[in-house]
Amino acid sequence: MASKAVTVIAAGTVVAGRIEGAEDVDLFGRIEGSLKLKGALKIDEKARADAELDVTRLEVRGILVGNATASESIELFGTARVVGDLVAPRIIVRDGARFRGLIDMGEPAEADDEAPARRPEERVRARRLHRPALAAGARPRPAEADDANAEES
Amino acid sequence: MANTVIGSSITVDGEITGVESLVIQGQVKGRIGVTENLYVENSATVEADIEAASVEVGGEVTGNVTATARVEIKAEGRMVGDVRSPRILIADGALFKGSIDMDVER
Repeated sequence: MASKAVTVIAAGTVVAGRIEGAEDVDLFGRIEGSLKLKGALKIDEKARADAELDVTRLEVRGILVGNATASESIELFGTARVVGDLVAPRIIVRDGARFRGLIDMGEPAEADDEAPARRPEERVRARRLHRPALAAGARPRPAEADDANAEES
Repeated sequence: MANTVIGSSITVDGEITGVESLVIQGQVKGRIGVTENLYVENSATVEADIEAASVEVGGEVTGNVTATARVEIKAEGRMVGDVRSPRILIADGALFKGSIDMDVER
């Protein structure tokens, strides 16, 4: 324990309620409620979290039911089963992961003329509104036209 | 498998239950029930009713404690609450306020 403190919730242990802290947490058991962490949360293959998560980094190999916000990244591994909305600048979903919910990676870098920090549903609408402008401009190359059609449907 | 460890920067408000040993270095408020041993370390503050096989108090505990095997309050330990356990040890220097009941069925 020379470098960084790590909290471990072992298999067979259930923590229900509110958890807060500033260190990494390795979850092998279960948590229920909410967890707010300045640090990384790892949800092991056999672990389960029924909780609202607000962390720096999140790695899911087990089950997560609840919304998760990470200031750095969220990664769902092949064994992950997740139901909830994910918000993080980097979100990685690996082959095999099962996920149902919304993903929000924030404003894409190329959307320069848009106001920052939009809600996801507003962003979708904004993109649709942009479509006529694209069509009115220089005639799009066929590939772009195809993309636009695909997104429109 | 490793024990459950609640690190020194962690605050838990709620309930911790488990079949493993539990080491607390941070703060826990609510209820603790483990079938193995509970270690409340020096840096820890626990405000909870506790059930465990054995309890070692090196930090601060407020709440009632029921242990099936033993309770030990170490020299650095501070404890307020009632204790029920067949074996109870209080080290020189420990602070304790509450009642003790060693008349527990094994």
